[in-house]
Amino acid sequence: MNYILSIVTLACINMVAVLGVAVFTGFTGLFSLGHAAFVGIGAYTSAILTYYYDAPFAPSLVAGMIVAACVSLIIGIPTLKAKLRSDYFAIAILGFGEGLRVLLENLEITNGARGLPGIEPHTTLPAVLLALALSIWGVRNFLTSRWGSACIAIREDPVAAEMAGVNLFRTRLLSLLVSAALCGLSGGLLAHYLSFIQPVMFTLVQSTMLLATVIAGGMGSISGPLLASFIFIALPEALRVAQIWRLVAYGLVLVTIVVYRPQGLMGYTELPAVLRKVFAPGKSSAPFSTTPSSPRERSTEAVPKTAATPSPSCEGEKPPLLRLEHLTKNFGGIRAVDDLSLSVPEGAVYGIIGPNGAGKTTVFNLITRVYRPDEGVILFRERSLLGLAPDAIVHEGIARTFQNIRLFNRQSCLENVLTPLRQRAPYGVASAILHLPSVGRAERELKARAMELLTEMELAAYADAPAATLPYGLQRKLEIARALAMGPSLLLLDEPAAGMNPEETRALSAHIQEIHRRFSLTILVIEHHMDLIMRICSRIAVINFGALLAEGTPEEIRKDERVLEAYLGKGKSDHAA
Amino acid sequence: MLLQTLITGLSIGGIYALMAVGYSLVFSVLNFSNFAHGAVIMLGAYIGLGVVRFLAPALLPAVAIAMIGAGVLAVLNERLAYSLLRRRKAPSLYLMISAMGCAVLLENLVYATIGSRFYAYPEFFATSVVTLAGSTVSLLDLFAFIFSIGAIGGLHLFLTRTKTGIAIRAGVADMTMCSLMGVNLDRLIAVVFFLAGAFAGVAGIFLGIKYLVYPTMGWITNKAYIAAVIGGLGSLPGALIGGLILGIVETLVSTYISSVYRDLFSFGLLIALLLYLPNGLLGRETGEKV
Repeated sequence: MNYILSIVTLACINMVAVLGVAVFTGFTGLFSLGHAAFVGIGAYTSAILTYYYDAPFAPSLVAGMIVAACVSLIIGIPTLKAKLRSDYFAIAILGFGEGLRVLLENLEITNGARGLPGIEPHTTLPAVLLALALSIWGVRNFLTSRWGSACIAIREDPVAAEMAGVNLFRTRLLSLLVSAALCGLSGGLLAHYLSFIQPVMFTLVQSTMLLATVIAGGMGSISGPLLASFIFIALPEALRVAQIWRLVAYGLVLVTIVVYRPQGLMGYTELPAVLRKVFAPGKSSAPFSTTPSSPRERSTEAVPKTAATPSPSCEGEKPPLLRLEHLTKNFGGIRAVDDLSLSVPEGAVYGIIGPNGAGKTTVFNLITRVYRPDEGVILFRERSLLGLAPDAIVHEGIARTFQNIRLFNRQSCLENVLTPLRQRAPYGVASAILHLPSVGRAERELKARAMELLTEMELAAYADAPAATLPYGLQRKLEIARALAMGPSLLLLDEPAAGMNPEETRALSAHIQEIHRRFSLTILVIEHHMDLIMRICSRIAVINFGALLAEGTPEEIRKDERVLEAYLGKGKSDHAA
Repeated sequence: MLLQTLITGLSIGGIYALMAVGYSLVFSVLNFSNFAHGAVIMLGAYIGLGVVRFLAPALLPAVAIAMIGAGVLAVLNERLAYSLLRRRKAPSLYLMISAMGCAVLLENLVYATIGSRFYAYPEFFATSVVTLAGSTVSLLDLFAFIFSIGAIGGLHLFLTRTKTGIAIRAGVADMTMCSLMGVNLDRLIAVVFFLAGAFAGVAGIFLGIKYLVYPTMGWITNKAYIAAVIGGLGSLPGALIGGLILGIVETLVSTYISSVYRDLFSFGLLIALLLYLPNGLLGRETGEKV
């Protein structure tokens, strides 16, 4: 009986650390080969406190969490700021973890490689269960808050996450802090359970095992890694397999899972959801059986003739909303954007056209700071955007869609729209983790707002469907909905009609006009569909080889000789647009 | 004193370079850090030991068989743990994690079957010492150094002068294009892994002779990995230079500062390099496949 209790206790202690790695790897998409070091820091901190300073148990655990989190900043800040390649990042943390171990082996207060014996065995099973339950509760609250949805957005697509107003550096660092703190807690519990710790218990092998557990359990699941942790610890113990064979199995499982089942045991779902599905098989989710047929019809009708000349009145003497001045960007020897100057009046629907490879998308990428311009100025409301990070630009009021759709694929449509909305949620990290009533209130309001937006885009029926399962045209709409959720004043649409047939294109034109009016937006749109551009734009810029070829009203562009030449070649200019 | 330190550093650096070549070779073609290389080095050391103990107590057959054996193991490793990921065009991170799993698996498999005992090679070079300008070098170190330089030079010739070598270099530049030009990618990658494994076999024997043979000896190759990063992952001359630099710097640190902080220094160097000079001294720019 005691033997079983000890296995359960050890498994639960391990689960706390696994939970931390799950937040970091499973939900934020960052891989670490050094988290065992944070377990070690927590273990040594709390053990030293109770051993040398007679500190009480619980505060020593908290101290272990805090110190582990602080130590994680030392490696986290430089590596996350530098945006290392993901494998280099994992290796940098590996180096850090191994370095810490060397340090532990040589410090006097840690008693070197011999380790610390005789730590008071404060840890009991109820204490561990309490710590685990609190950890699970806190992690769950964290993951369903704005911070968690920012983490998941980064895992799904870092570029799109930035465009949803997520700050990559701060969010990743926060995720590291949370995971290091949980590892620290696990370490403190471990030290006071075994009453003996030594540096060799916190090496690369242990880090690999933590990672293996999370990968095996399922990235993006809490219950999966916990289950895997239990299987990994309890099963070999129950079978009385020697420690060595257990490590052989770890290696084998890790390789097999990575190669054959990268989504792991539970994939991206949770155990309760799976159980519900198993025990109530009748109610399958099939949002597409009820595909609403109305949107297309409605939109086609809604193409009024008046839309051809969208309110020229609002283009009076106001300063332009967006101004590009002498913008230049080189990629190696290729000049993608060449001394380009444009000004987009407030309230306009402004089109950018040009042959393939003319540099249109690069202009968008320069505005939203995916790239940094080599020369030139970008002014938004007469303020330079050059000093701002991508997410800050979004918060200034510029939102965009992508030429090749970039949604948070595994997230539901509702979550896709919620993520940007949440980035302005009025609650802090601590209240999110504790799930204070204010958080619940804010979340309910945001959800209602997200549903409104989905309804606006005729996507309400798909609210719970994962974004990737939507048909192509609806994915484009969802991307627009996500951009609108940022509450922008300038919306950048990058080939919104790509891959659509004439009928769908017409419907989309009407839709863009409706959004333009309803949200009082300024829209900058790149398109190859001339009918869409000519129908909805009040001004058009033509770009060729990165430089401005012509600029003017649709009428002027239609007649411009240089434009016809760029598109159709000399002498064939009789049938344009 | 300084000269002696430099010579000691160079002799360690030579072995680092020999091990680093394996990392760089695989990285140059598949763009990932093959952490199973250390385990293959360890297996090479065991194979050599087996030959010396049970077949022929001489160095040359041991080296030959260890090279072939480790080469075959490396190819098997690729087939079982990487080829599917490679075909699926998985991110390089996944290949690295799979490699990590292989390292843990192989190491503990040896631990569980052969045991954790430390084995020693017979003294091939006795303790003979050569005197160079007043400093001493052990014959083993000298031999290892010359062998390392020679082997890396030979590899360079292979890559620049033979048909397969040129195909490998083409694969480094653009794998898809290379296969469209009629190169059998699977065979090419098998050759790359065989070469990396063969180098691992030699490195394992030298390591085994210099230190001892035991299951976790492969972790020393973390240092070789650092050497490869210094030189620039994916660059063979970089692996050689990185190995020599790391060997010298480590010896300097442990002679003049403290041997305790030698490892701390190396790991610090690794992090600093990844942060500020991720392509090393001679590496080329490599983006990450997303």
